[in-house]
Amino acid sequence: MAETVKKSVPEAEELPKAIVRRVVKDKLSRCSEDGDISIHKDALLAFSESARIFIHYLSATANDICRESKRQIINAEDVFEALKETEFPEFIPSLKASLEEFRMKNAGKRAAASKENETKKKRKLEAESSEKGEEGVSQ
Amino acid sequence: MASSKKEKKIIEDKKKEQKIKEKKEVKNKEEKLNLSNGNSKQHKDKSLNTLCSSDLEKQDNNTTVINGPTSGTKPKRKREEHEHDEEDVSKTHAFPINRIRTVIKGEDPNSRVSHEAIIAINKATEKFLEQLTLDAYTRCVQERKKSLSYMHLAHVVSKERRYDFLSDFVPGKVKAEDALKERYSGGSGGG
Repeated sequence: MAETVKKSVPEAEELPKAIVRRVVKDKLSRCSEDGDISIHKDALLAFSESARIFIHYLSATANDICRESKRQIINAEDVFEALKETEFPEFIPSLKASLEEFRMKNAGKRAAASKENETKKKRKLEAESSEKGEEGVSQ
Repeated sequence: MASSKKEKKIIEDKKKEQKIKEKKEVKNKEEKLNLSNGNSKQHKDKSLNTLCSSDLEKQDNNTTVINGPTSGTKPKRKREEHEHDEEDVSKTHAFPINRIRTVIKGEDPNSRVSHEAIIAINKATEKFLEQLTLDAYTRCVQERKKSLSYMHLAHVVSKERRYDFLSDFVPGKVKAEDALKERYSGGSGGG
């Protein structure tokens, strides 16, 4: 009988309550145009817990898919396949969109970083040349 | 010279107030869109946000103009831009990446997950929460309640097959009396 005692979840594995609340409230405010609907505290707790279990569920499914194809690291495709398997295929398009965005951002950051480096180098060169020029003038 | 400048400023003030109103509306809409359509609108949003912030600052600027000093607006602008940057970061993924990783590793410490997969899982979790909210909300409307309670969630979980994995975690509420009866009747079997 003692087996049914709840295992307490370590705090590090809980999802941030504020973010869960924001996601749920935003969705609710989009659903109901007439008036705000309040959320009970226990409902919010259940939402956050459900999201956590969903991550476990999804990652475990993706892990299985990954192992089936004899790879070591779970990639985005595995997650998509896992979503199909867990009957949430309608999420896939928006996932792809946000992944694309992420890649674009990363590419942008890299490009910006390389540009910065280039400009720094140019500045250095310019500074050096100008120094030389000044030296030449002073001489 | 000074008086004409003041007049110009007043006209500008009015224009800016209008702009700000319009842009606030646009911003609100965009924020909603952003959440629903993923992040496809983000680039536009970013530019609008920065526009908005600069306009808002101008308003601040103008309100202070009446009193005279206009100093102290520059650092403020920097701060706001910084805030917008942070918003942008949070928009690609709702939840903190490290937290998602700990949750995944909590189940299987040996599993290795690529960064892109974590971003996908992050987004999926957000979509899942939204879907669950929507389903619970429709139930809530069916019952004509003004607030979303645990029972709505439990009902959704018990009704839809794809939420079956949650059934152990979001069980329907049972009266303590019944639960205790059940426990004592079947308790000897291992509870």
